[in-house]
Amino acid sequence: MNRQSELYRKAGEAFAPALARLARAMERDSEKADDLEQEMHAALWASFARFEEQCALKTWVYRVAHNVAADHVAKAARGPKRVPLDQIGELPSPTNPEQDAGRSMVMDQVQALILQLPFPDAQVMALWLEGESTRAIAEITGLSTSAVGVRVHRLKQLLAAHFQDPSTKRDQS
Amino acid sequence: MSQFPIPEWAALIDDAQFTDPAQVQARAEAFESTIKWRNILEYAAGALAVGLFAALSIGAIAIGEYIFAAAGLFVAVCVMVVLWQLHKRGSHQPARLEMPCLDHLRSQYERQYHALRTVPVWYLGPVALGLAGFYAAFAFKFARVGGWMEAAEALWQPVLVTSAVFAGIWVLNALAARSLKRRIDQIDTLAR
Repeated sequence: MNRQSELYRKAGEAFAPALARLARAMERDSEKADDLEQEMHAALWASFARFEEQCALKTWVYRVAHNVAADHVAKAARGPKRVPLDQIGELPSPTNPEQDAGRSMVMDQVQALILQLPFPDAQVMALWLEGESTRAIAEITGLSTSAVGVRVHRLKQLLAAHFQDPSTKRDQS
Repeated sequence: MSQFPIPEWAALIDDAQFTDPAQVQARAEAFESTIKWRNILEYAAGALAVGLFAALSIGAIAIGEYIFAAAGLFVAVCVMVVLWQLHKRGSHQPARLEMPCLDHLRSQYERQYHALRTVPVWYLGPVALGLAGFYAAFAFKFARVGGWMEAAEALWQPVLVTSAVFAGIWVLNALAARSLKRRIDQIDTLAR
C-alpha cells in the first residue's frame, strides 16, 4: 500500500463518521449530502499526495472537508438566508421533524441552525459539535482563538435551553 | 478520541466509511471527462459565433459593403477576446483545499471580486466596442444617403437603449463587487 493510500485509510478509520455528519449538516437533501460526502473523500484522496505533515492529520482532513463543503454551499443556486451567530435569538424551528422517528427534534434544530449560519460560524459549530477544542478549531478555520471562543460561548448559550448545559460535559475554552 | 458536547450528535452517524479508492479515482476521471466536454462545447460555441460574423463580413464584401465587412470582422475579434477571457477565468488553478477555511473562503471571494470588478474591461468593453463598430457602420450608411442628422435620428434610440443596458450591467456588477469586498474585510477582521 503506498503512502497516499495509507493516509487515506488512516483518515477513513478516524474521521469517516465526522465527515458524514458534516455533509449532512451542510446539505439537507440526502442524495446531495451523499454526493458531497464522496466529493470530500475524493478531495482528500487527491490532497494526500501533497501531505508532508505540515500539520496534524486531523487538521488536514477537517480543512479539506470543510473547504469542500463551503464550495458546495457557495455553488448551490439558492440557499436559506444566513444569519450570524450573534444575531440569532433561539434555535430555529425543525424543518422536517417527522422525517426520522428515531431522531430527536432538537438534533433537527441543531442541523437547521448550522444551515442557517454563514461561514465561518457554521464551520465553528460543526467542529465544536465534533468535540474539537477552541485551539483546534482556530487552527482548522484560521480564526483567532478569541473569535472562536466568542462563537463557542454563543453556541453554548443558544443550546443551553435545550440541553442540560452542554458546557458542563466538557469545558473547551 | 473526541468527547462530544452533545452525544446525540455523534449518534446521528457512527458507522460511516470512506469511499473505496478505486471509486474515488473513477469519480475524478468522470469529472475530468465532464470538464473536457464542457471545454469542447465552449470552443464550438465560440467558433460558431466567430464563424457567423466572419461569414457576415464575407457576404458584406461580396455586395460591396466594406464598412459592414469591417464591423463584422471587428465583432468577431471582440467575441474572441471575450471567449478567451471567459476561458482564462473559468480554468483557474486547482484549489489547495488544505489551507485554513478562512483563507480558502477569502481566496474564493477575492477571485469573484476581481472578476466582477473588472467586468467593464474584459466583458463589457469588447462587446461594447463590437456593437459600436456596427452602429458606426449603420451611421455611415445612413449619412451617405440622407446626411448625419438623419443618421443621428435613426440611431439615437437604439444607442441609448444599448448604453442603458450596459450601464445597468456595470452598476449591478459594481454593487456585487462592493458586497464581496465587505465580506473580504469582515474575514480579515476575524483572522489572526
